[in-house]
Amino acid sequence: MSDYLPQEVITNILLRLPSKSLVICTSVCKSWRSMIKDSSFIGAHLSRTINFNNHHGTHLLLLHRFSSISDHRSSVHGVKEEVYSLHYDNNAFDDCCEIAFQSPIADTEMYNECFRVVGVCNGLVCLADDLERYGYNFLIWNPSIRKLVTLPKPGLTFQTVGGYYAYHGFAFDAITNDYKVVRLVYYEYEWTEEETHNRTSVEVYSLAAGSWSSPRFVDPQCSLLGQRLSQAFVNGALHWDAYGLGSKLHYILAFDVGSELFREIMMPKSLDWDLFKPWHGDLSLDCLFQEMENPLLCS
Amino acid sequence: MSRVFKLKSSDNETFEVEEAAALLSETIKSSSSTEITVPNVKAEILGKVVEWCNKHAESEDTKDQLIKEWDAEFVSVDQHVLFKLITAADYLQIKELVDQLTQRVGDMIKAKTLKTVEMTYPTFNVEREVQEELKSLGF
Repeated sequence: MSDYLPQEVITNILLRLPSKSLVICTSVCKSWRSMIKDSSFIGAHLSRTINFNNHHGTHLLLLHRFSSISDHRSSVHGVKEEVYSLHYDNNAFDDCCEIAFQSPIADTEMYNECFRVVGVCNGLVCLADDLERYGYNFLIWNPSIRKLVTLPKPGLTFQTVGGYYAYHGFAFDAITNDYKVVRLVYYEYEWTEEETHNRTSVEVYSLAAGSWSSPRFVDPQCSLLGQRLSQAFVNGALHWDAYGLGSKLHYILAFDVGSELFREIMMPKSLDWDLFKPWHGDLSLDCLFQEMENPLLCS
Repeated sequence: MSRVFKLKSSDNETFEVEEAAALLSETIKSSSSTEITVPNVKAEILGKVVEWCNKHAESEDTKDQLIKEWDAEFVSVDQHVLFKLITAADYLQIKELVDQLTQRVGDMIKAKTLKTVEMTYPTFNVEREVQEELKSLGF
C-alpha cells in the first residue's frame, strides 16, 4: 500500500484509527511503524481524539476497584481482587471495557495491598504504592499500548527525612513534550525554630530524563491538605489545597509544570475556611477538583 | 453560462464535467485551462470520481440521509479500486472525497486483528519481532 499512496494520505488514514489498531499497524511495515511512532503524529492523533471526545461527549473515566479479605486469625494472606475499568462519562456511567493490569512489582516488594491512581493525563496513568503505608513504587502506565515504566525510588523517603505527609501530581509539559510526576513532602516533625519555615519539599520526576530532580524547598512554604486526594491539572499547572505556614492563609497552591515554579491562588470566597471546619473544607475542594479534572483515555 | 471542463484519463478517454462538479476539485479550480489530464488514472477510476462530483454538485444544499447512503455505497469497493480512487481524488484535491475514502480504509483496518495482519501483509524480520512482542502483550 505504501508504494501506491502518498505519505499524507497514509497519515490521514492512520490518524483516524483507534490506538489499538495503530499498535497493530506498527507491525505492517517499517515505514508505517516509524510514521506511527513519530512524536508529531502522536501529538496530532491525541489532538484529534480530544477534539472528537469534546465534540461527541465520549470522554472515558477510569475506575479502579479493589477488595481484600484478610483473616487476622490465620496466617493466610488476604485474597485481593483488583479491577481497572473504563466507563463513559454519562449519567449511566456506561461500561466501556476492562483493562488488564500486570504489575511489574512482586507482591513481596509492594509496601501496600495494591497501587493507587495518582492521576491520568493524555491516556497515561500514574500509579503510586502509598495506599496506607509509606511506599516508593511508582509506575507510569499506558493501557492503550500496554506498556509501563517503573520509576526509580524518589529522594524524599522516611529514611532520608523522617515522618512525612506526601502529596502527588501527574502532569504533561506541552513545551518539552514530557510527562512529570510531582512529589510534595511535608515533614511531620518540627526541628528548630528557624526550620519551622522550611517543612515542605518537592522533587519532580521527568519521564524524558528518567529520573527525579534533586529535592528543594517549596516556595511559598505551606502545608497541604488531604493526602491521596486528587489534584487538578488545568492550564499547564497542578493545583493542591494548601495552608500557608507564614501567612496562615488557606489558598490553592499551583505548580507550573513548564517553569516548575509555585504560586498561590486565592481561595474563592465560597470555599473560604471561615465557613467550614478544616476537614469539611477538604471535602468541598475535593469535589471542585474532581470536576476540574478531565481524565481522557484513548480507547 | 457555466463552463464545461474536459478531464482526460491516462488511457486517453475524455470526460466532460459541468463547472459546479468540476470546481469541487482544488486542482481544477486553480488550473488556468479547462482541459486537464489526470496522469496515472485510468478511465474506469476517473469515471467514478466524475460520478461522485456530479452527485455532490447537484445535492449541494442537503446533507441528507440519501446522499449519505449513496456515499456509503460508493466507497464499498474492494481494496484495489479504493486505493486507485484515493490516488485520483488526492491528485484532484477533492477533500471530501479523500476524507470519505480514507475513512473507509480506516474502517477496514480497524476490523483487522494482529492475526489477519500477519496473514495479509508480507513482512520483513523486523516486523516479525514486533508482531511477537505485540502478541506477548495480548494484542
